Amino acid sequence: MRNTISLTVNQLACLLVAASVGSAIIYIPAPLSHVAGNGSWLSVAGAYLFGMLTLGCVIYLHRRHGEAAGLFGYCRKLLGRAITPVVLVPVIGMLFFAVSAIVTGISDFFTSGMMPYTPPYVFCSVSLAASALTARSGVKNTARMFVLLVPVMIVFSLVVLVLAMPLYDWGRLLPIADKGFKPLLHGLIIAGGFPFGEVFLLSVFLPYTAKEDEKLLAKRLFRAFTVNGALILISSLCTTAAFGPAADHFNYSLFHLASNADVSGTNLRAESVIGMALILGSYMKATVFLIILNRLLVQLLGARDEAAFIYPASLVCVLLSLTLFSSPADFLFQVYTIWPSLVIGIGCALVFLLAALSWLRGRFEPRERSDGR
Amino acid sequence: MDKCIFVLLLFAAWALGERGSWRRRDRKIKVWIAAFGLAAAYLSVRYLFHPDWPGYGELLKLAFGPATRSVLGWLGTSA
Repeated sequence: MRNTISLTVNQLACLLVAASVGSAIIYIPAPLSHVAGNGSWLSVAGAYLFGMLTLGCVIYLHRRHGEAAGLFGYCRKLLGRAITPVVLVPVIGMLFFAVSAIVTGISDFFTSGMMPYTPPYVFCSVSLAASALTARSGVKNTARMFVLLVPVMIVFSLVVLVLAMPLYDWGRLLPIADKGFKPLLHGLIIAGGFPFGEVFLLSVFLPYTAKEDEKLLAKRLFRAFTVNGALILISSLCTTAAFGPAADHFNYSLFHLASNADVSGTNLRAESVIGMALILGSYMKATVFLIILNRLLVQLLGARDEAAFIYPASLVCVLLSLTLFSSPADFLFQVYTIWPSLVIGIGCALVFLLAALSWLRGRFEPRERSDGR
Repeated sequence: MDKCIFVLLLFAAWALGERGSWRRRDRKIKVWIAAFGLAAAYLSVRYLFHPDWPGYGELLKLAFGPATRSVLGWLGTSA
């Protein structure tokens, strides 16, 4: 069944950038520097290739089963009715975690620096209310709006990286892989899960592709994903070049880069620019994940209203964001250790399994038919 | 006190949002939405009174913590 809503490939590409870069461009350099040292950019490059493989599987599944309703449809077709809830409930659980963690990230950003005396529930509830209302307006309206917001986020991030040019000492990138090979692998797992592996969630949106844009789909999505990879790679390189081994001490690396940027001895105070990019990225990512969460719940529970679970899921996510993490260390452990494992071990593994099953079915089905003749 | 008011406002906003479409919903979906409301009520109690009840974070750590720790152990790094 093809959806009545249709998205152009550019809108899909913007949703892809919003969902996989989002706030990651600001968050990810610090934990990567912490585990992989100067070689963090190598981990990003490896994780980008892993993400490309995942995206390739997602596009392959769409080509083979385009008429099926996204991830839910593929599971139903390839795994059967009984197993579909078993594999999708963990994905839904992951999305509850992700939306809550994104919102907690916004709240932590504000309370750790600019507004330490404001209670976190103010930021959590307002951010999620904005995301819920956007998601409620529908995937088409959201995609149209993000076509404008994604370039703003990218330009803001690039402007800060360019303004911080005087801070870069490219010699700090050497020696490459100063901590050895295994930390690089650890960095690859972190970046492979957050944000590159999250691309598996795009399978929920692909059935919305406009029929006339199907031919361009793969090319544009791979291009958008390469932009993602390049942005995160550049931000990782620039952070290491600016701060060297100290890069892992700053939770919001680009924010610190912006606050240290100066031209001719005058501090530019450009941190508000990157602050806006962070909030914008987090808001877009939370909105996209909320739409995906609602869509999976609607399909799994058989609701007729396409937006039936946006408000209930948002309510749970607000309260989860306030209770999920017992301390900042717990936040770091869950977001940079548990979450990447969930994305790779559950989400990407599911897409790989579906792609393998689909390939096997395509390989043996015609032979069975010809044997039957 | 401010937290109690916040939680009440949150549930009131949710009820207001659901009011328009509640009658049109199937019985099954109403039950599921009520289940989400119950989960939210449980989390509200955890948020307001901090009882020693299990939370979603603990569940995740219990389910995936040992496996991820063993992978990190093999990589020779810590979480």
